Amino acid sequence: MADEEKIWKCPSCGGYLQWSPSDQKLKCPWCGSVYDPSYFENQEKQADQDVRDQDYQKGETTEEAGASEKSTDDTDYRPEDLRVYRCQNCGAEIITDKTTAATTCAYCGSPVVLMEQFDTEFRPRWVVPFRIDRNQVADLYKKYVKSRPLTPGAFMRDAVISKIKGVYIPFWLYDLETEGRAEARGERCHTFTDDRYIHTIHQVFAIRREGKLDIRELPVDSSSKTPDDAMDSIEPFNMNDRVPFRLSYLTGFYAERYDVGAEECSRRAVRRAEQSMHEEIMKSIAGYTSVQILNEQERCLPEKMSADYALLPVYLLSVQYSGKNYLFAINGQTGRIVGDVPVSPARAAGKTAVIFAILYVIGILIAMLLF
Amino acid sequence: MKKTLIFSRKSILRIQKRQCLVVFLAFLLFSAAGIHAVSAASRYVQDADGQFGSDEEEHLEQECEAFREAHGFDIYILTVNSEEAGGSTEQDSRDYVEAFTDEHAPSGAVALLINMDIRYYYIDVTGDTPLAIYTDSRQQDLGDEVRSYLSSSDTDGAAEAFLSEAGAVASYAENHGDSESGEDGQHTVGIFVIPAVIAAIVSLIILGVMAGMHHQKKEARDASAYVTKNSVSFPVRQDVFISQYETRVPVAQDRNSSGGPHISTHTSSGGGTHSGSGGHF
Repeated sequence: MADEEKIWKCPSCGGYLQWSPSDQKLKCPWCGSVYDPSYFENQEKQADQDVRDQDYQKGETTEEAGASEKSTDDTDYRPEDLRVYRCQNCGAEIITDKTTAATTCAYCGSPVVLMEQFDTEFRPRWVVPFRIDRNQVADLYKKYVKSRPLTPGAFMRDAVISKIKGVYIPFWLYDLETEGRAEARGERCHTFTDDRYIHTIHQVFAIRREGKLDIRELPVDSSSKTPDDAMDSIEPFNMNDRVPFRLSYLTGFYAERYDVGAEECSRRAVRRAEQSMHEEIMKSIAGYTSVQILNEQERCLPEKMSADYALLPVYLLSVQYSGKNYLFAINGQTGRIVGDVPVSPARAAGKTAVIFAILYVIGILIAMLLF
Repeated sequence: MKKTLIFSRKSILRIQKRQCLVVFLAFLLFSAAGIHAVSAASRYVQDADGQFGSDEEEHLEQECEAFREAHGFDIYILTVNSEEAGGSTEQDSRDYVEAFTDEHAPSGAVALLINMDIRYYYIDVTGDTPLAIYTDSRQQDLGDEVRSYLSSSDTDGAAEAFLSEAGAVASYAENHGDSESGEDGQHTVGIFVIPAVIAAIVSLIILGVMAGMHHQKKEARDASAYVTKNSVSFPVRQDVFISQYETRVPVAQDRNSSGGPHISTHTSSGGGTHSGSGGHF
C-alpha cells in the first residue's frame, strides 16, 4: 500500500501541507513553511506508480464496511452510492459518495486524497489551481449578498460563510473546429424628402457567407452533482493557468471525479460552438438596414473534436432557507460569484414603502410648484 | 292804456292743437330715446351693425341673462361693421371682440362676433371656466352651427343657435366635471393623485430591478470567450447587388388635434388669455 502519509507532510514540523492559493505553493498551516510542488516530485512519481499498479486504498460499500449511511462530506445519497475509506492519520471512517476524489477527515481534519478516483480514465490531464484563498472568498461572498438589496439576514451570518468549501470540479475541455454557412437577403435603405413625399430607396443584395472558427479548451461541467447553469455562470476560466495534474494541488480542498462522459458533455460544447459560429456570421453581415436569413447551417467537425479531462477550482456554498436549497458558486481562479439569492418579503415591502414615500413627497412638491 | 288780450275760441283751439302737437312730438322723441336707451342698456347684445330688431335683441338679451345665471359667466353677441366698429379685417374683428370681453368680462366670457361687411364670424373665449369648457373641438362645433345660419344671412338664427349650443355645451361640461377650471378638482388630482400613481409605478419598477439582481444564474449559450484569436475566417464572402426599388409616402399635413380636451390659447393686447376660432361664411 502506498505510504500516502509521506506525500504532503511538512518536512519541518510534520504537519499536513495544504495548497495555498495566495502563495501558489504548498504551505504548512502549523509552521507556515512554504514548498513548491516540485519539492515533492519523487513522491508524486511514486503516487503515480502506485495508481498504475493499483496499489491504493480501495473504498468499500457501506454494506461491506458496516458503516452508517450518511456521508461525511455533507451530501445526501443512497447507500449504494456511498463509499467508505479509512483515514490514514487517525483511522476514522470516511464516508463519501462514489465520485468524491479528495476530502478532509471529519475527525482529525487531515486532507485525504482518494487515489482510487484517479485510476486510469479518471486521472485528470490538467488542473487549474485555486488562486482565491478562503479569506478572499468570504469577503467576496459577503459583498455579493450585501449588494443584493433584498437578501434575508440569514445569508450574512458567519456560521453560513464558514461552510464555504473549495472543490475541484471535473470538466471536459473541448477543442472544436466549427464551420458555418449562410445565405441571406439584405436591404440598404436611404430616404429623402421633397415637398410632397418622403421617398425611400431600397437596394437589395444577395448575401453569402462561408467560414470557420476554432475553439480551444471550452469547459463543460462533467459532474452531475453540480448544476450546469451555476458552472456556466462563473466562466470564463483562464486556461493559461492550467498545469499538468498533480495530487499535491488537491490537498486541503475537496475534489470530485467525473460521472458524465465526454460524449454526453460534447452535445453542450457543440451547441455553444455552433452558437458562436452563428454570431460570427451575423457580425460579418454588416451595413444593412434589414437582413433576412434564407438558409443557415453550422456544424462542428467531429474529426477535429477532442476533449481533455481537467479539474477546475470552484468554491461552493449551499444554504438552506425556507425549505429550499440555495447554491452559490465562486470561481476559485477569478473570484466571479453567482448564486440565486432569495428575496426577503419583509425587506422588499419595507424598501418599497420607503422608496414610495420618498418619491411621493418629491412628486407632491413638484406638483405644487407646477400647479 | 291797458290792452286786454282777447283770445277767440278759434285761437284757443289753435293753441291747444299746437300744444298737443308739441307733446306728441316730445313723446315720440323720448320714445325713440327710450328705445335707444333700452338698446344702450343692453349688456350682452351689442348690435352696432343693426342686424337685430328690437324684439329680437330683447329676446337675445334675456337669453344671455339666463345663460349668465345658469352657468356663472357671461355670453355676448356682437355685430359689427367695418366703419363704426370691428374694423375691415379679420384681425381687427378679433382684436375688437377680445378688447370688449377684456373690458366687460374680466372674469370670463364667451362671445360671438359677426362682421357682415367682410362676412366673417369669430368666437372668443376667455376666463378659466369658459376656457376649460370650450375646447378647440367644441369651438369648432359652435362655429359650424353658427356658420350654417350666417350663410343664409340669418343673423338672429345664428345668435340663437350660438346661445343654445353654447348653453348645451356648458351644461354637459358641468355635469361631467369639465368646467372645473383647475382651481379645485384638477388641483386635487394634480397634487395628490398623480404623484401617488407615479410614485407607485416607479417603486414597483425599482422593486422589480432589485429582485432581478437576485437571480443571475443562466446557462451559457455561446463559447465566445474560448474562440481562438484570429481563427475566425470567411473565405466566402459575397454581397451581390440584385435590384433597387422605391417607395414613398405623402408628407404628413400639420393638423391641429380636433379631438379631446385640447385648447390652444393666446394673450390679447389687453393681457387676457383668450382662445377662439372663426371663419368666413
